Amino acid sequence: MSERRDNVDPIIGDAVGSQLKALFDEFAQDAVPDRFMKLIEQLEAVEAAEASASGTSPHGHADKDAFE
Amino acid sequence: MSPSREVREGLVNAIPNLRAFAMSLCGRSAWADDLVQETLVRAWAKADTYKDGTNLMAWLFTILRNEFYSQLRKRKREVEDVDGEEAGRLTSAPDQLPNLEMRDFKAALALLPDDQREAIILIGASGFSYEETAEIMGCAIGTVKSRLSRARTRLTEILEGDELNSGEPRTG
Repeated sequence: MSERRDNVDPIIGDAVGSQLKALFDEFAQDAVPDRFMKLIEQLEAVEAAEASASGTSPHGHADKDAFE
Repeated sequence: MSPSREVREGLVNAIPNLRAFAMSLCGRSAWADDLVQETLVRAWAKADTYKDGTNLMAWLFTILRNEFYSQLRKRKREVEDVDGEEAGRLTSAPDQLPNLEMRDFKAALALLPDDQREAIILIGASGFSYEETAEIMGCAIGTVKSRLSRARTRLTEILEGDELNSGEPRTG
């Protein structure tokens, strides 16, 4: 993830490194199971429900009077 | 506090990389996906500890690896309680990998100690810097470098030797 080139280990691009990268990329190309998007939707739904229950908007604009 | 839009989008976009990291650590298994699920839940819950503009992927990888080690300790305890054998992760299910070379490589990777495997994946496959890897692993940069070097030597030994063809029949 880093763009710094002065600190790149020689493993990048050598035989072991290429195989490692190929394996990682192979894993990363797997189709993402539906359960993960459903999970994100559930987390959002819980958050929206909590926000409406506590009288705040989902974007965190708390009702100031509640704290004063 | 709820995750910002940046974190939410980052989480969704990171899923393939998080899965690849989890699978590299513990095989293409149900456990890998459980780790990713737990990582997403934890990241969501503590989104307020993420500092905007810092490396979100490194933050998520840190959560995943900490969860991996915590579950690993738990599993080892449970397995020791039952029959004293090492948990059978990494050999659990045959993997659909495109060629023998890649299957051998994956089997060799599985033989490395966890900390060495983690270092070599983070640097060699995920593309993190030494500094980022040291932060993710919670150790010094020198430790990252020495684990990486040992991992590489050991992998080369395994791939050039006959360890993969002896002992247990190969899976995947």
